[in-house]
Amino acid sequence: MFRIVWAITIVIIVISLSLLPFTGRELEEKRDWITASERLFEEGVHLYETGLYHSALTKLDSSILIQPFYSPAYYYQGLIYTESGNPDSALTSFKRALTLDPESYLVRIEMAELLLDKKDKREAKRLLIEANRINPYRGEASKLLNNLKLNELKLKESK
Amino acid sequence: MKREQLFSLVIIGVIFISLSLFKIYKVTRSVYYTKDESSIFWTEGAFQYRYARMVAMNRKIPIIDKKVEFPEGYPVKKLHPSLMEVTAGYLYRFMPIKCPFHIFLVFLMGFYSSISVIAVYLISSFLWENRMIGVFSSLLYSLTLSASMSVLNIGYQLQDFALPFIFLHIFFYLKAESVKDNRIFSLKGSGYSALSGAFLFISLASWHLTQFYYVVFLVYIMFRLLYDKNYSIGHFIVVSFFLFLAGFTIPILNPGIFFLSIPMLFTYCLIFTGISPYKGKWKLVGSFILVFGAIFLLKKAGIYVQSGFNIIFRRGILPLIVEKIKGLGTRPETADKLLWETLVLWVHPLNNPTIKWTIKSFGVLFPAGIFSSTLLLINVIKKRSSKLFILPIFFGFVFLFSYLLFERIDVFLVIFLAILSGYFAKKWKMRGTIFILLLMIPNLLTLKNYKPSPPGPNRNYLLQVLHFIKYRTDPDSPILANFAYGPTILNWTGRPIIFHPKFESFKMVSKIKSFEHLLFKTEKEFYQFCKKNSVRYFLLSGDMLLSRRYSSIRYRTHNFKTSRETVIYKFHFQPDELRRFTLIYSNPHYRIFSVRYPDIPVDEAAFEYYRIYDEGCIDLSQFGIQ
Repeated sequence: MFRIVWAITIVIIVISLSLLPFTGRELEEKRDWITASERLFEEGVHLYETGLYHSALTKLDSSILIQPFYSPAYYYQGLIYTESGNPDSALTSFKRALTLDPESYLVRIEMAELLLDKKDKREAKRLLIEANRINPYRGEASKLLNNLKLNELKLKESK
Repeated sequence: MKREQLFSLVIIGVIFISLSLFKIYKVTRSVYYTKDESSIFWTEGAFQYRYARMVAMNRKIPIIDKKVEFPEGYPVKKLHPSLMEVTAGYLYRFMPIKCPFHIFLVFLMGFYSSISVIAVYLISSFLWENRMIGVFSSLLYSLTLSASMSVLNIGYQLQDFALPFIFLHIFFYLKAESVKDNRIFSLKGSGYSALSGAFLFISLASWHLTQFYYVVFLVYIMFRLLYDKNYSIGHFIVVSFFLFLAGFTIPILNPGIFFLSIPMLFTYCLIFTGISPYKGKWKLVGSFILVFGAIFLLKKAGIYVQSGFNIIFRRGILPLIVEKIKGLGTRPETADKLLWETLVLWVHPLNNPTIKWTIKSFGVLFPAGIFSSTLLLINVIKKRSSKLFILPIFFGFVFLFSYLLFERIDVFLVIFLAILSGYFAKKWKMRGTIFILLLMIPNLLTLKNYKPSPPGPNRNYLLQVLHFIKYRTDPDSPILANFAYGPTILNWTGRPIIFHPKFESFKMVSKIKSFEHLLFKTEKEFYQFCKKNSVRYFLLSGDMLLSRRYSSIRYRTHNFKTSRETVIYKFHFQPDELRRFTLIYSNPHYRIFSVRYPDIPVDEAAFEYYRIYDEGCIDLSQFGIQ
């Protein structure tokens, strides 16, 4: 008898749960579709554009902590590190952006410029050739490659 | 309480908690797990997440959800078993600890999906009359990857909620069968049957596939009635009563149609057979003639109506089963002779399992379970083992056969293999137990080292698309996209969607079929479809044109070879030639087009170069494009 009572109780609970959520007043969905990570990202980009790099970095770091799969956040993080004179951190950020977005032309350009500053011409050249292959219609990679060739020629001539 | 009983309960408690915490740990340490809930769930999981979140946020679930399956709306109450979502939502509302809902859900899934461990213990210890063998079976079950894979892949699936209740239903049914009483109904037996019926009731309210399980259960009852003269039908009648009650009270079972569905007709036949005073196997045949004859007459009178589920079964699942049996699991070389409805279903998790998949999912449990099932079957035939083993052996072999057709059935098979592997412990006692446990070490390592599959496509590009939709489209703009993307777009941008992955809505399935075929027609025809469904934006994914894999649109619409005159070609390679659509966004995986309407200002075109969309960069003949 006890088991039958339990069985009936279970059935009543299930029926209630199956029907209750469809009752009551329907409230209009007022959800904010912009997530916390997006808000932080937008704030970080705005602060970067106004030159407040430290605050921008804090916002972007928080954004990445919540959503680590969004490549633009790493891209801007890399730009901020570049502007702040921290090329190693910038390269790390750009590498992460490239892992998430292997077709990114701009990230390759930024990385190549940093590597050229660090005198790593070989790696910079590789990135520039890749960038040219990804988008042959943009001129940044071609321009940098031409400059590299010119510098190499000058060096040979001086020797 | 005896010492052995207490000891076994403590161990089961430890196994249950360990398995739950292990799942939670693996998920929260997964590369794909984020504090941001955006696109953390994919396709069906994302669809279910929508309603769970509604209940959690104290919102009413609409009877017809206008934002899903726009413009007609999706009849949630009628088609979607929402018990899992409702339970999660209410628990979240009333729990004292607050955290983001998706994180709460991960923890909850870890625990309720592990209740099957307890069900395995109960069934195994009851059958083998030994609690430690029950513990042994539970350990085998928890060490097998297929028991946990769905949760580890961050899948918010109905099966993880419904399965423990199905197995509890089986446990109480076995208890009812074990009651020795000459009467059809006894209080003790009826008590167990009632509990069995109640748990089946829960699973019917939670998962559509429970109806498939129930059909297998009916075949088992038929088998027992045919070959066991002393089989008592009373337990089944009590369980059927709960099914009858479910038909009246559970909205998704469509009262009226459910009572005339094939499983229920079969139920009536078995009840008539069981209570019939006539002896002989022909009484079953007589019952079938009586019931199906009555239905035939009703159909002639225009009263019998087929439910959407039956139509999907007839046009999709049944031909799929036939093709798989004909080809012994291998796909035909050309898909031309197969219907779209069959091909759209012939993807993971309805693929045939490979040997590699079986080794990964089951490990040593597969051969051990089959070996012990076979030996037990021989024992039962020779009357050396109890008749109670007939049920698990029957289910074991049926689900083994079903598993060879559909890898999804692994979640049913693993339970019975674990229970029946108790034979090793029973026959060879400590040596058998230690032998199998040592062989399970690779299982343990597979589980420990398992790397979850990504829940969905490349998250970065998907997030960028969602970002664009949120910032650059109107909140009420309906979006046309592949059905797998629908729930993600709706959940994390709030825009109405045309398609979703719940194929119980057969009208929508027909529309998906039209949409996919129209991609290979002219721009005008595709535009007419968009106009008819008030589509504002169309999301193109790169694989729509370029992929010819068996899961691709081109494969299932028989467009293995296609031409440059199709609208999909223009979307992909020549968007500037389109007259009725404007390209407004591109990234390497996706493009968004706005649909031009006379009374709506044309969106600003935005073209960004990516080589995937450059005809000059791709050898089109390799992709069958002429």
